[in-house]
Amino acid sequence: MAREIICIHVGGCGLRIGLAFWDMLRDEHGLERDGKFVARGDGLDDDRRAKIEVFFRKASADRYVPRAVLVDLEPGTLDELRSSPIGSLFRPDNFVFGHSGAGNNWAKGHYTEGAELLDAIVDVTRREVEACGAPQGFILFHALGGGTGSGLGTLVLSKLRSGHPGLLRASVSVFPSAKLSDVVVEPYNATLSLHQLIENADLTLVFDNEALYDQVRRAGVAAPRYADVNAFITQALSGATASLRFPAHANADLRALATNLVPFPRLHFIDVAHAPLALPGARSVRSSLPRLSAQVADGGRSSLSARTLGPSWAATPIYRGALTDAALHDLVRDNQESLAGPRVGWIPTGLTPARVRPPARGAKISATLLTNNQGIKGVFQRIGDQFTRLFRRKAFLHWYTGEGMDELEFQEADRDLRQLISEYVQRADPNPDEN
Amino acid sequence: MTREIITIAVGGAGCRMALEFWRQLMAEHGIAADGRSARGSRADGKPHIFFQENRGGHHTPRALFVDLDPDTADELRAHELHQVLHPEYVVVGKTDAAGNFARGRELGRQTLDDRVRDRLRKLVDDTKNLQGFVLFHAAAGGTGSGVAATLLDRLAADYRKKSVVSFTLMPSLAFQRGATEPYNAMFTLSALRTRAALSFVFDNDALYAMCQRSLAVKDPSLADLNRIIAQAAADVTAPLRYVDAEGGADLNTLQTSLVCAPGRHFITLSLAPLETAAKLGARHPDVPTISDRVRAPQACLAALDAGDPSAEKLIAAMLIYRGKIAAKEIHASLAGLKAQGWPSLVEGVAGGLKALQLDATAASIAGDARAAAKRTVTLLAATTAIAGYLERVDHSAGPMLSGQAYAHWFTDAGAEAGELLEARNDLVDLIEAYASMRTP
Repeated sequence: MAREIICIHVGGCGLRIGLAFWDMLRDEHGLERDGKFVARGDGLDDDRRAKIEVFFRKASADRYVPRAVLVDLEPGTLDELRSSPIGSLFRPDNFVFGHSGAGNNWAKGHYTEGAELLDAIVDVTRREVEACGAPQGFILFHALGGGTGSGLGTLVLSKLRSGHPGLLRASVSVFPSAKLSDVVVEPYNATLSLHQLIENADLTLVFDNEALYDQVRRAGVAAPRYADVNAFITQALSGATASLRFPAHANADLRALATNLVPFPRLHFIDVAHAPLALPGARSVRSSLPRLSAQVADGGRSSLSARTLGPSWAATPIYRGALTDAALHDLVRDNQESLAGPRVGWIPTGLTPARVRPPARGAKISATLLTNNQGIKGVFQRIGDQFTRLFRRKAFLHWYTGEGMDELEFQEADRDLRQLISEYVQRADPNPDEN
Repeated sequence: MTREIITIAVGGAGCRMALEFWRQLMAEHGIAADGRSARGSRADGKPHIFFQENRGGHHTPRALFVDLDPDTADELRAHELHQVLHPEYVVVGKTDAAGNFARGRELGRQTLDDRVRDRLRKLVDDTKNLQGFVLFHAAAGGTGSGVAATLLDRLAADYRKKSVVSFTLMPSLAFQRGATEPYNAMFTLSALRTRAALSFVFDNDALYAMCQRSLAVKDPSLADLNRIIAQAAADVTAPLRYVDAEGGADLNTLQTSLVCAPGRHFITLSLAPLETAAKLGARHPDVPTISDRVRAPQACLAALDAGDPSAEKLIAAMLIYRGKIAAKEIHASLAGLKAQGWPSLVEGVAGGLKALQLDATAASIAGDARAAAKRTVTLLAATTAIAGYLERVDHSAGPMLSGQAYAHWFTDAGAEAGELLEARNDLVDLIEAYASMRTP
């Protein structure tokens, strides 16, 4: 029986990543653009189909539909998605949209405009849950900087918590960077969102645009745009979900993955490194397992800035392609120390590798490394500092109070973020000083 | 009189091990995949201890398969033994334990316990003189630990006087799947300590090395490893299946020979010879050779590499020889080893070294890495090296617990806040109990 996962895409960024993500997933599982399964006869068809119902719902004998709910406060991006080559892949009933937009305002997404859409989202989501045999959880795709993904996305998350308490809540969260955007209130939106994610998400895959911008530049794109950054995110996500989607001995479902990666409930923010990065037009990349595992472990391929990386409590490298169990076994046995970058010594079992047979597009073998990295507090620090600079002068606050928010909520979110940062410091050692 | 044994497999790894065990037993007793005797009218030996035979001559394993993961049921349906496995005795849940003892225990109680109890009752009703239960499970898995612990409680409550013997796959360092494995193993050991009469312990690290080094399998699969476990489990139960009870072979005698004190019942297994069919050829090693080889660390199914091997002593041991071997050959071989100072026994408590022999040879199945020789020996050893073996678990669990890592997954799934600490204390006690026997 499939342990189904329902993906909820909220806001422009969540939807754009969703579009690329589903296009990749349907291809990796042998589906045509209309969702029809076509065997390829390369010996991997069984692997493609074995767990296809985790992310896809069977619509007819050989046609599959994404278990995806697509939400925005304006119709634009959804129209784009519908008219895209994979527009007919999705269930038309699962598009939920408003007309007003959120104007990069978290309060509009969370309290006013977004709240009006909530019932419709809850209905569609419940229908998807009811269509599952053994539902395991949700993945929210959103960005923290804008208004819809951040405000409405986190509202949906808290609603899922009360409505489906037994199911896991994961998120794919894109963190804002001034390098790619000029929205001044991003630090507000991000801080208010993080306050929600800390409490209501079990696992958050962090994609920090600040780091991704640099990484894509290093890969040869002079002036990276969102599309380039999203290409990395999509490939990394395809790798990060591979053991959930294909037969695997370890981390074979979302709960197992979350259990392995999260030793402390609030500290569930995960760095995702991926190699090789296949950019459009680039040639298929040749590599070797030791080389790839070294590349993802050294920090340069990380979704966080390498400068901020520290030791990790837990790490899950996921390898794809034609590798034998013995090759993986020997790699793990001989490279305990170097396989996943520096790790804390007091969780010796924090390294839980997985392997799947079907390769990623454009790479015979690839590696994706998920780490619960202490260095991520640097990202929170950056956002917290930006928040403070704005909040000290109460800049732009009226946009939020105008929607009915209280300053106290800002202070509370800020305090929670500071608290989180200090927990990262305390948990670095097994026996922190009593506080 | 037939003294039946019921086998219970718990969790994915447990079920896979048990399947190989049944294949092995069917091969040894000459029972075909459809449950009929393959070699004429009667099966060899005393299969009725493990199999029920109906009037039509069909043999059905006295077996229960239990897993939280529903996929296991499909796996069993597709297995080559599906004809002899009754679907009623495959009890599965809806979703798995995600490598969490507490979740396994909780889901097991909610979704499996009633059915398990009912099926067990039926299996027991089909016996006349049940001697006990054999359990196959993995200590580190969520189901193999949590559901098994509930099951052990159930057996203790409903069948108080029947012994439980477990074949327990211990956590591996290189095959590890979950960060929480040390905690699960800790809980399992704590449950086994009070509820099981005998626990045979082994791990995939040792089996993997055995396949690669001794059996020339470059890329060992989990199935290869499980085949060796099945061979060893068949050897352990061979005296029960072939020798008459007067010969002193039932679960109780195994227990009396190997267990010096309650709770100190963890036993390692070693096999000799370890040969591929090609290497074995026509020259099967003689008794002195296999007696010598079975003592070697490479022959052991548990990776007892920690500590100083020369400091370790045997508490009790049993050698089970299979094949046509004269008693005097065994005596002579053992006298030879004794002259070399083996075994080094713990003074005072030791039951010493016991040897058993039975004519029925071990069986090989097509695809086995290890071929069955005409003469084989299996060493069942209670040793002080168990201290170091269990320390391996504590080495991970201890620091993790002091940093409270992963504890929330257990409390969220219904564990009491103090349970992890209690289980750890049990483990430390157990290690100490073994370590203290190193010095008189």
